[in-house]
Amino acid sequence: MELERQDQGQATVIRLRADRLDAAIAVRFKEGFREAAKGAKRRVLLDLTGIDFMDSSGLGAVVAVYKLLGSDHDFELAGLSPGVDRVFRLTRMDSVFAIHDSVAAALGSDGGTDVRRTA
Amino acid sequence: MCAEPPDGIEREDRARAIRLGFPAVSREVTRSLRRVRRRLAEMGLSDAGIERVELVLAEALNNVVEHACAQCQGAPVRVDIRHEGGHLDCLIRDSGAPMPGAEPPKGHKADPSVARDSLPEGGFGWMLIRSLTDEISYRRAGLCNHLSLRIPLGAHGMAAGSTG
Repeated sequence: MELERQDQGQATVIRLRADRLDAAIAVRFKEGFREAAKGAKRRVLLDLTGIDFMDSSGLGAVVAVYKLLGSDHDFELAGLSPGVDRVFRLTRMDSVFAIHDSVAAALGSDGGTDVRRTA
Repeated sequence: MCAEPPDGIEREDRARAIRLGFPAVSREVTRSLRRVRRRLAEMGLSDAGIERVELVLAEALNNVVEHACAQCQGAPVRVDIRHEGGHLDCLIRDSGAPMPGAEPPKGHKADPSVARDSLPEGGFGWMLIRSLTDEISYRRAGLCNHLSLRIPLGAHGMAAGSTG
């Protein structure tokens, strides 16, 4: 598991590089995210592209990082596979987060600076 | 004992059955689920069917590791999966602590409209299991937990062209 951070304009994109977000990595993910998000821009986008599987521990970790970011940041998600998307919908947590098809869609095709959209 | 020592997958009746044994720790659950995923694909399940089964098993097995076997980390767990018609029957056996109240939790729908700080970070597991299965039974047999789960595969559970 690795977390990559990239700041683009007013957004910080944090990409989780792994194929699963499950109980075995949930704690490491939370700790890694906390580090990666230090000094993040106002808008924080978690890129889950490439994650084929997420269980409820993984979902709990996503909720946890959203809470630890605090109200100074907007937190959004991008790149959910159909299976990952289903976990958000079944638990109704899809209504908590703005969810984008991809980072490019979230930031605008020019990789733009301040394009904003909520789900 | 409820489960023979961990011995990986027995290669018996490969077309319809998956049997595995592993120690109750998270990374072994992940490893076993990767195997299950590959085997279900060989059995002809669609991606949607595989996702459903993997999620149900992940939630049930995470509970074994985090609750039943919290005091007996690494105890043997045995999983038997059988594909019958339009569903999968799964039996999970472990020698951990019994379920509180001797029955599986109901599972509650979370309320997503609460303030950010009050959002739940857990407790989704049984809700997911209950929404993806159509029969659940639990019994305590001696010092063992037996959890049976029937997972319907539905119209889209098999890959196109597969005979099931």
